[in-house]
Amino acid sequence: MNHHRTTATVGALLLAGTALLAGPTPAGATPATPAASSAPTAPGAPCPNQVNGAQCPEAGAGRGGRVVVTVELPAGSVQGGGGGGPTCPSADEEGREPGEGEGWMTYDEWRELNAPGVYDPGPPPSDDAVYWVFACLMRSGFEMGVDFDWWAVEQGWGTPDEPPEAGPTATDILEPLWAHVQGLLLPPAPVLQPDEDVRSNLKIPTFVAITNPQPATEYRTTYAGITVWITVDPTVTLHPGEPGAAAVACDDDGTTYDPAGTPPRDQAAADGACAHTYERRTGVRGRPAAWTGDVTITWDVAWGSSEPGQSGTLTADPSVTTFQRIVDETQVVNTGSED
Amino acid sequence: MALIVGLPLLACSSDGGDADDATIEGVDADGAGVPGGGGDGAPEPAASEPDEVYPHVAELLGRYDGLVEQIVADPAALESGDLRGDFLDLFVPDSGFAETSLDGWAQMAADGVRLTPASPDHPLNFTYIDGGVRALGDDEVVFRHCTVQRYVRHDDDRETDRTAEPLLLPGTGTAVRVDGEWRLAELTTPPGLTGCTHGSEGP
Repeated sequence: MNHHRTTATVGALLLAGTALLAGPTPAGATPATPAASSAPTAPGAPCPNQVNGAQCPEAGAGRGGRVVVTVELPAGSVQGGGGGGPTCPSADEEGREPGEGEGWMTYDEWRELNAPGVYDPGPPPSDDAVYWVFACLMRSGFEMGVDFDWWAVEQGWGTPDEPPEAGPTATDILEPLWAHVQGLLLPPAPVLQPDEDVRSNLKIPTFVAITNPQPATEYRTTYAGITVWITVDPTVTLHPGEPGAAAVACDDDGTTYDPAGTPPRDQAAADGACAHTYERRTGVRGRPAAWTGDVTITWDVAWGSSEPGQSGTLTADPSVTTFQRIVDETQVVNTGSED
Repeated sequence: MALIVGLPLLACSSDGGDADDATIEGVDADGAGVPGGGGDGAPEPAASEPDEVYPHVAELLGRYDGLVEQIVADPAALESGDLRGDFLDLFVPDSGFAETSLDGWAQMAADGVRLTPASPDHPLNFTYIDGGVRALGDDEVVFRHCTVQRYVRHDDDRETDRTAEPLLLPGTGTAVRVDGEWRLAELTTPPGLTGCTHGSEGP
């Protein structure tokens, strides 16, 4: 199994209004489903773009060979309410005057603008519910293109008199998602061949299989209409522990010795083999009783969201599991016959 | 799947009011004539000047469309020649979007699928900025775009699909300035969206 080391691209920026692609959820709503991670899923909605499927966000999910895992956050796990409600992006930037009519408007008022970005809100949650859109007039004033450009920054159900309460931001959602994902970044579980509790023989390779492979994965969740994802790309390295031994890059599942395959040394020499041939005995001339090696997973973590500009990188401590390797010159360890 | 509402009035129309009279000064359909372009080595404008960035993004989209049309007409050609490199040159280094695009077209080649223009008068894939360019930072912009597609699909040289009407796919794109030059970062055409503010012909 190979994990693919692909530079994370997390700038899948959508229109603010496209946050409702998965179906409208009133801002600030709480998911009804308890916390869970799904099994790895295939990308969902069909891609309308037959010319370049990469343009579909869902087609983009799992890019770089990543497994896609959908996470359902526990009810109440998302804190924060957007910091006081939506604002128009760059409204206070130099050269841009706030446009007339910006702010919350009812769905009927929005329709008069004939602007995209608002989707079928579905049935109202109550008889007197009113669908609201927080709209920004992104009047740029440049001579090319159009001279009006409405953006739907936020939308959701409210009452006839009040727009919906401020919903969470992407970073509000990121926090519990990252906490959840961190719990899934496990130390590697290496199994040595020859076994760790037996003596290895000089010149006979030690193979390291990893029984809990953790492939490159994209974790994603949608909460209150905002999709947030975290991409985790592991790099697995074997440190044999023997003085002067180079680190060995491994696949996420390491390498299992195949007794029916080619000679051990050939298997160990194959590209990508997670193996090391010890050259120095232990327990002699002041050397320790065993070499202390380890398997280390370093994690490249990035996050993105369906909200423009809401993306970045995250830091996770490496996951390390150590092992002891006794190396003896005379003890024969049967890892298979060698010619 | 959520359905779009409130768009049909504009979805297939180019009579977008004031916008109809707007022109992209100095930029032709292929994006040629970009102000400040031509490889003079001067840094391209910062995102804080979106009207200056606009033609650079438009030019990238024009080149993108041209290359896409060549690629999907014969995806197997990516294995040789300059198409792959030319395509990657449009994007930020190590672009996951670009790589995913190429992977998809490699799969098309493996499946024996190719696409050709449905009309001699229109390109197979026409991507325009459907509105303005907005700064996300000094070196990054986001823009709403529309991809207009008119194609015939061939499976093992047998026609299996044809767009009877132009397919209008709105979405969002991002571009990043790398070493003083604008490059595309990503284009999206989310499922569930159809219709563009400026119809099939663009602004």
